[in-house]
Amino acid sequence: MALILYTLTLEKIHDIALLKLMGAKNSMILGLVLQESFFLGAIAYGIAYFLGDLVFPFFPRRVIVTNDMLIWLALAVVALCIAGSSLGIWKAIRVEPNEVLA
Amino acid sequence: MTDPANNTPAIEMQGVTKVYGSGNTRVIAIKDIDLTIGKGEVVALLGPSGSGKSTLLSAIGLINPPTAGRIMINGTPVMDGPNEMVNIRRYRREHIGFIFQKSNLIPFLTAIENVLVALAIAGTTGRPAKKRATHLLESLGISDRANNLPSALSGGQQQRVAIARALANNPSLLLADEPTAALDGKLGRQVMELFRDLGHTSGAGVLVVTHDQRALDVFDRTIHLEDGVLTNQHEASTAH
Repeated sequence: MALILYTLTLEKIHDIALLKLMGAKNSMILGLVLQESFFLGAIAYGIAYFLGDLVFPFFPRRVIVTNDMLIWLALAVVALCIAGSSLGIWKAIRVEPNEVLA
Repeated sequence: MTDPANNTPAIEMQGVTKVYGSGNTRVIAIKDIDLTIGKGEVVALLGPSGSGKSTLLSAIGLINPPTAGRIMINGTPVMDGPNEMVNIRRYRREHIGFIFQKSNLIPFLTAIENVLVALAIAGTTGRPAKKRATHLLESLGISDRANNLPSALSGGQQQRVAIARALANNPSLLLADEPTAALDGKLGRQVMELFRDLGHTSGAGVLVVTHDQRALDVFDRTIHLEDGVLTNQHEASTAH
């Protein structure tokens, strides 16, 4: 996850430098990276939920997923998204605006 | 009654020097630059490759702090040597518009969204932002392409969107780095004329770095940089 987000951030490094050149605050840049991370996290959560629904009936023992477990899993995904995006955020915050001119 | 604020230059540089490296690798990129650009004045910056044009532009644009010297925008000291006198990022956001050789539009956003980004950065969102962006695209003759992605626009149209984006927050200073390098002669001249008209109507000081000798008559003044030193300045009447 961290590697994917880091690569996605690297791909947009020029655009991030441009936003900084235009005066964007670090919080805005941070928000953009986190948004992407949460978006990916939500997709992964949805796929996992439906995939689970499809394959659990074929498991040798019954799998019970309670609402509490789903909530805890969602919170875990949020935490993983934040942790996973930290490398991308670190890179994005360090980008100098003059990289646009390069 | 005259407004004293109108007599304040858009940009004023005093003794600006930028040195890269130290010891044996020390390079003086620009040396002791004194430069004033008035409000509504449209100035061309000429010079050979490596003369320090980009360094000067990035110093004026508050991207690359000078080693020594003072920079004032609208009469407010913003840099004193490498020391920031104001919040530089906020100052760039509110006072300076940038245009580059390539349009540098965000490829996955439409023309109008590219302009809206600049407005959002300055805190203008919603209906007022959309109204302002639409007005800018209209005034630059590209409102019919507002919902197109940059890839669907010609080079000239992309550059106009970039100009609209640079003008979004009513900057007092517009900086352009070889904005016509990727355009043909006729289109390049149109863009240069657009800068002149924008400078004269909006009151923003405009500094354009260019190699294009054919459009110099468009400018109020041309300045020449050689080996990091301003060598001469010509008013419009003597520049061509």
